[in-house]
Amino acid sequence: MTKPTTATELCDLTATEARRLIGTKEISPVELVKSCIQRVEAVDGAVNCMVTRAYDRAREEAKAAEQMVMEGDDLGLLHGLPVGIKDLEATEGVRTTWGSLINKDTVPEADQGSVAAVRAEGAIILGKTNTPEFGAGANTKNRVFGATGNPFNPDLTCAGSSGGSAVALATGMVPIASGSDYGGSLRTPAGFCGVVGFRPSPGVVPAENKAPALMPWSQLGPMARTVEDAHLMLQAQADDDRADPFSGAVDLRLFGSVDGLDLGSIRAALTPDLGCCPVDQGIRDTFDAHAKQFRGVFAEAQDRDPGFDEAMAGSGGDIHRLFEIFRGITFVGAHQERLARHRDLLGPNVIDNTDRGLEITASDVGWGLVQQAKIMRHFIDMFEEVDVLICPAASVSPFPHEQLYVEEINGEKMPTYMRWLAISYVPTMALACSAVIPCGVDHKGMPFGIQVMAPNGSDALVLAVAHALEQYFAGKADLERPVPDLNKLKG
Amino acid sequence: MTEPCDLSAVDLRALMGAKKLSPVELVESCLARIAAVNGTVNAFVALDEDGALARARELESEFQAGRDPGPLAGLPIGIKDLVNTKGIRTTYGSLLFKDQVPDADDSQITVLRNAGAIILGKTNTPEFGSGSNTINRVYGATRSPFDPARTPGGSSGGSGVAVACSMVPFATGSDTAGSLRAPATWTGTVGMRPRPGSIANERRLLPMTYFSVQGPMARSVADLALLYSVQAGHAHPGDPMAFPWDASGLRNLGAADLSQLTIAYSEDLGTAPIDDGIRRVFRARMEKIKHAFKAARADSPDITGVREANWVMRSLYYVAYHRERVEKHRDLLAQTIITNTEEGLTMSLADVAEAEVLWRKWYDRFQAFMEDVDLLILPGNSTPPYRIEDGIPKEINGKPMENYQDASLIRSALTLAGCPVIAVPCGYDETGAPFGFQVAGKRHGEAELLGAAMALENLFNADPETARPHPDLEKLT
Repeated sequence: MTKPTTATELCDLTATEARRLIGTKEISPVELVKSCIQRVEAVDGAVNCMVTRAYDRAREEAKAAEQMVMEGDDLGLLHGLPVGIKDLEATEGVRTTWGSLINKDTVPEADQGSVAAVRAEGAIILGKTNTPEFGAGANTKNRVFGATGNPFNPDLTCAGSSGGSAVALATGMVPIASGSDYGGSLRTPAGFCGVVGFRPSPGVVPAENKAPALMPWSQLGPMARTVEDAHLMLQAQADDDRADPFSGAVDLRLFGSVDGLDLGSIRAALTPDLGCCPVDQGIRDTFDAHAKQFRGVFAEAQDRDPGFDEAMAGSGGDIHRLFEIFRGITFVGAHQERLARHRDLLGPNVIDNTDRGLEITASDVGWGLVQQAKIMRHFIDMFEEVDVLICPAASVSPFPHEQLYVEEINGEKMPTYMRWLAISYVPTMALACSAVIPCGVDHKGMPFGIQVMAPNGSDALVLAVAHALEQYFAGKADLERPVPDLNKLKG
Repeated sequence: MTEPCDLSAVDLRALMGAKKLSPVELVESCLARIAAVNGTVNAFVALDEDGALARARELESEFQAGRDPGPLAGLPIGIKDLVNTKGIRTTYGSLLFKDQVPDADDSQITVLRNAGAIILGKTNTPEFGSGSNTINRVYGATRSPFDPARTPGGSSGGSGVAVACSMVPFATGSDTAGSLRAPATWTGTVGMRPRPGSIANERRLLPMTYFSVQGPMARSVADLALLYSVQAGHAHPGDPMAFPWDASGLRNLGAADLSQLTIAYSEDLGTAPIDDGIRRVFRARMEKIKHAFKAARADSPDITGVREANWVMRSLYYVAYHRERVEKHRDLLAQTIITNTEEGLTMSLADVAEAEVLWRKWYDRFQAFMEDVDLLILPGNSTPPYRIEDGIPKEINGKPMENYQDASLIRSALTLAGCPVIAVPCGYDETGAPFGFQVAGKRHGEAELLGAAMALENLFNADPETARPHPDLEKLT
């Protein structure tokens, strides 16, 4: 079931609805692509999210897609649907910059696996969505393309690093887009832009060429305007691919429908801050006020957090230290050589993360490995008593993109440029899978999102709960998905 | 004379199902064998005779009542002493745990019990499984049944010897740098290192690693497949590498048609240290069998950087596992553990990151290499088994080994590749010790690998020169 839509143009349809109408020959992929292009042209001047456009090829592919429909060919899951691909993913024949001056003119010769997978299911790449340099940081701006603005107020950030995708979805440029997430890179922008982002369990969406072999922190995932659409895209992305050491037989429960879950059978834990993350008071108040309106739907709603601090008590560090260590390995592994050769071409986030990593010892890493296992198992244990954990998607309301990151929260100075993202990187450390869904607006009238999460391997459950909540929110003034005023963004 | 304990697990299970043999008789036969030879080889280090007999009697009634008590019903099994067994002393080969009696089974034991297996006892391992030998200060050394002066390899040496001597039809092992493969090779048994995550281990201190996996050991591929079909495929939330799958089909596995398989073989992966005598045997055996395949080529993926990546990651893991112990209980720890941990303490995050990158590159090269071959065949071990008092070889062909892991490179390289590998016995080496191959399969290709191993086993057993070695048990009693 698709919720009633206010769609005035084809590009505003959900992916699920558009795909259905393509199959029944009620709309043509050619018209759909045209509508999406018109939307990009109308509003991207204001938000700057679709930074490389592949219109010509998209139009050709749309024609071919239409032909296939007319000839009665077997159609893929995403047949004829325009998709935005995050500019950290290599796309054959379409410029891919990773937001870096070093790669500003790179045109890959091949699609990476995650891109090939959605194209194989019939998706049509409309263009590349903006990201900070090498995905570092949660503010989508770089020296190649500049900043991407929030569609609800273009002076504010859309967050990142999958900010371009979130904005493209919020403004109806595409019905589905790809994201990736280390410490919240698809969840924070989904929260800031009023769209859906899903961080799957490791390996569900295989990624190749990730430098650290067995560090599953960074994951690819789908973004969309509805959970059903994100799930549709995930089905196309999910695969068992030797390129990803974490990939395995894809759990069949991921396929089929996200529909039909009874929230009245679900035990939810609710926490404004996961017990260990800085969260702005306005966001706490918003979370409490909104939770009050939906907590009654569950079989049980407990106010509790996973207790990570107590799990790590006496270990000589906290979960933030853990994150900094793993972040260091990723950045040193990926960027040490680049930093040595091109320091002048790299931004402060990449340099900062890498330099911090170079100060850490293997002994610290050993500590981190042990502690990560400890907190992950501690997290899993909590799920003997609850089915899902719900918290805010982001710690603050969207802030000016001029500001590189959040420097203080509730008057407390943030020690690193990543700390304000703890609400999303802490679940990563516990290896949770987590869906962000829109949940009304915050104290400043900007989109507010919540994370629905459960341990590694619970992808199907998390999506089903998120979908059921989304349906519950629909039509409720305080909880439903906010939609940006496109007229303010047009020319 | 052949006793019930000498029969294969598959035959034993069929006999018990047909009520022609009682689980009680079988347990008694196994206990008698242990009583006869364990004094010499020291493979079983803790026994649960009463528990095993009680369980056997229960299962006997189940069989008598015409019920099906599970695919492993009535089959005694040995459990490596790194795995927690409820009510049965579990020491990890360490003085620090010498009196530990767990009050709960690890999930892999629950799985075995639920399938009807009878936990007979614990098999010896070096301290915390460290090193390709089987000696510790709790129980002493486990000895090769082919020459008790020599090591059976390790760290699953107790299981290898227990199986080789028919104390049990099969046993569990685990493998980081070859701990299933080395003892299988030197005891003339079959041992498989499955792909990571195949057998859940929720108690692995570091959950996200390819290094440590659990695996089966047996005297034949069919017996091994029977055990593995029960062990594999149980997801456990505490093991993020574990995933659910239905392995029960492996019980009906048939031998592959070797004439349809393309293989690559290498005596040393290009640069791994391999004793000249082992090279000669490897070449001669390959010459003898390579005609059996559709195509066989001498070829190897490039292992540049693997030795370094393995050493750094191993040292990192030692720091994670043992740093606190080294600080507090240095006198109670083996020197290899102290040295390896202290080596790790000198390393930086940048070393780890570099190792991770080297590892990842090797993973990709290996996957690419396996695209157009079905199997990669390597020697099971780099040297013949050494004398226990001499310890791990400090040189190979006169070339000194820099650390105690270098001699294991032929096996640890496959660990980092993440592929399933099975050790299959193939006659004797020049020193009269069992010789065997490591046979590596494609990623996630356990079923195909087991089918191929079964065919190889048939081929080898048809020729006295390559048949599976049997120890002379008379000499051990």
